[in-house]
Amino acid sequence: MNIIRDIKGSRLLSLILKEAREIMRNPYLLFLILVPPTVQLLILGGALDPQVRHLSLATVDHAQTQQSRDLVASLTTSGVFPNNVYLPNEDALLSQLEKGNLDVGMVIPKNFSQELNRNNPADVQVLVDGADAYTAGIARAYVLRTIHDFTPSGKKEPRFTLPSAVRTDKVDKAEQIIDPKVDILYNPDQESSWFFIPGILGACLTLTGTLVASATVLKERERGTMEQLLMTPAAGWEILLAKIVPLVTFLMGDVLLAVLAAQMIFHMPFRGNLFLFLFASALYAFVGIGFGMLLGSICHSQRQAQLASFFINIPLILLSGTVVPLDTMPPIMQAISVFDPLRYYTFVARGVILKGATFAMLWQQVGLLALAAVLILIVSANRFRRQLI
Amino acid sequence: MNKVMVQANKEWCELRRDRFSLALAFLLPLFSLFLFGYGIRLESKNIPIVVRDMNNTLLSREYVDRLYATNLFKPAPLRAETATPSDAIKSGDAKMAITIPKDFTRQIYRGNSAQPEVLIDGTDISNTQIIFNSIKAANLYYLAMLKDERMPDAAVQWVKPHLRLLFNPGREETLFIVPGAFGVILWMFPALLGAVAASREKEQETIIRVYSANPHPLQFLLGKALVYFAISLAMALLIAVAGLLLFGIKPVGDPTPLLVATPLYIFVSVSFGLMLGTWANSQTTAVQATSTLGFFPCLLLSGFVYPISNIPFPLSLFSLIVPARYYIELTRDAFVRGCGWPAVWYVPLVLAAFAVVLIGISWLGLRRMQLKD
Repeated sequence: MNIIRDIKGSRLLSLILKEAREIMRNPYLLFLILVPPTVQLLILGGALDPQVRHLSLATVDHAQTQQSRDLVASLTTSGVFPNNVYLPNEDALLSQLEKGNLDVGMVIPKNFSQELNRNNPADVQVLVDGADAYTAGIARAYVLRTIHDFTPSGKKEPRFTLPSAVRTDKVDKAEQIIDPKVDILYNPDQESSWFFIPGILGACLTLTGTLVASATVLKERERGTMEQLLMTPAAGWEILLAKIVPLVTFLMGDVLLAVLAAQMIFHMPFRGNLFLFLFASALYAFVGIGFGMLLGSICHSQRQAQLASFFINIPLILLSGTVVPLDTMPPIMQAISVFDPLRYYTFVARGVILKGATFAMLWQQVGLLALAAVLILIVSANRFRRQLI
Repeated sequence: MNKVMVQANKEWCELRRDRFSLALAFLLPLFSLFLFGYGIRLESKNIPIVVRDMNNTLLSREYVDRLYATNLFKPAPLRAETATPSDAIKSGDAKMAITIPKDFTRQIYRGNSAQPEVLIDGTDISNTQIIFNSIKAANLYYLAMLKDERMPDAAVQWVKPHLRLLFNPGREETLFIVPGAFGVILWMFPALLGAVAASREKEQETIIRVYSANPHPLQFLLGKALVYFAISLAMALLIAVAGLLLFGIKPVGDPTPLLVATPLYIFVSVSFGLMLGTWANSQTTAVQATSTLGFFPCLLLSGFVYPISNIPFPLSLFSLIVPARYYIELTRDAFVRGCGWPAVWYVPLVLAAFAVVLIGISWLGLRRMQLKD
């Protein structure tokens, strides 16, 4: 029995070696597997930043007093509005808003300081460009809060007195009565690259895996060398597995390269267990390649496979939370995303890399990845076999 | 011109016989529009949090209610593995954990500051900012409530802002996403078709047969471009109608910039694909290059989801050569703001420049296809 198993093992091994050599001989394919994902990862990791800042603000200041200037200054102190532009009149303000050059415009009326000096609340008009609904929401909240907190010079801070049992003399400002100590874990400087790199890594594995895998299958078929493979005593699943294993190995090299580069360039930490991460990556690479093989067995030409790969890749990437947030999607979309293996991979990758999460915490997601890998391989092996007959 | 038409005709015959690809060329854009339009939402809701109230008094419960009243949070599911707040965050069950200390109420009445301990999952960049801000806001609200109940007539606010949201008063996120999605879709798929078309000829070595017809390289390129240009125009019309029916997005104001720029943009996109196709050695390379250079940059560096102004300096130069960026500016104007030419006059000029450069580069690439003597 042992001998038979050994022979079987070596048959698979020689098939694997054949596929690996084929990839190695084709420096172009090797280049494709290794370079674009890494470059992509580095550029996008460095470029993406979902936080709302650097918004533009313009003011039409009819009052032109110290107090009105203080109000503008209070808006520009944080990073949300780096600076303010003064415009002569409302028409200029409106036309800038219409052209989309401006996010927020403010009009301070002539009687601004007079009202304040009479101890009346003063009015200002704030116009927000709603075209970008999300940014508009944050800008609106920020402006309202800042203006709410604004105290003009020479006026008293609206001081807050609690019932007589509460003494306020020990704290300087009302806000300090409840003072949450906020601790931002894992990424205190809010480096957005740390957030995006694990996800984009998964997206790159998907894109590269499906394209390269479908290409290797279809090339074999288009050139008619598939028959030669079938003449060998190898079983269908052996041929398939032999095609997958070298690709997975190369993709693992990709993953290591990407993590290393991210560490050097973005100082991304690696807090968890490297083997857990590699295991999850290998599982996901199986999924990506499995999709590619499936495409390869369904489609008749490379063009069809490549077009059809977008049918798989776009939803996989979009519904996974790698590039756009997942928890903000409508419930239906979230329900669909339960079937997205990339979602689990991203979750695991972020957890392991950034938080040092352990297998005990992630076993559900890892299990689902394994399930997806097994399912997709069974389905494509099945299609493959049917195609043989 | 005649030779251009002949090339176009040949390409069309070829494509028409590949029903599957032709169907995909129309189904994929619709499918993507559907996904983008319904799937991308940036406004957070239902962020899972863990609350540990060690105090459990009227004040502390009111404080927690205030947090939930932001409509932003929901309680995280409880599991035995993640009993402590930091474990709940580590495992990803919760994005934020707040612990209210035992002496919360006592400290408030003593006039010291009560200090709830807040842990935020910093890995989720976009939510961190929102969580941080809403805790501050809930805090202010709660304080104002404490005060209002006890001292209603003290002036809190010196300046009263009157705020108006222009163009999109209901803050419909589809109004932001769908016009952007037009730009992304009309970049990806025409380019993809072009890339496959140009590289296939080389891979299947039918380019020699093309040479026998002796077309000028430019005629050859334009012939191919023409077919995919026409298909992509139909694609554009299709998704515009779908956008109207599914999301109620229609042009506001002067539609001429849109009518001028869309064909130009599609032409740029097709010639981008042709360029990659002529330079690539195989179809796989061509598609891989299109998805590397086309799909990701246009999805992420064009301002479709995340603002361009956030991209740090050396990388921000990349976004300058992403044509989708300019076209998306134009669609947002045409479908949302409606300002018209004064705002977007430069877009068609930039697109025309891209078209010239791309056709030029593919012409150079075509030389590599020439037969060696």
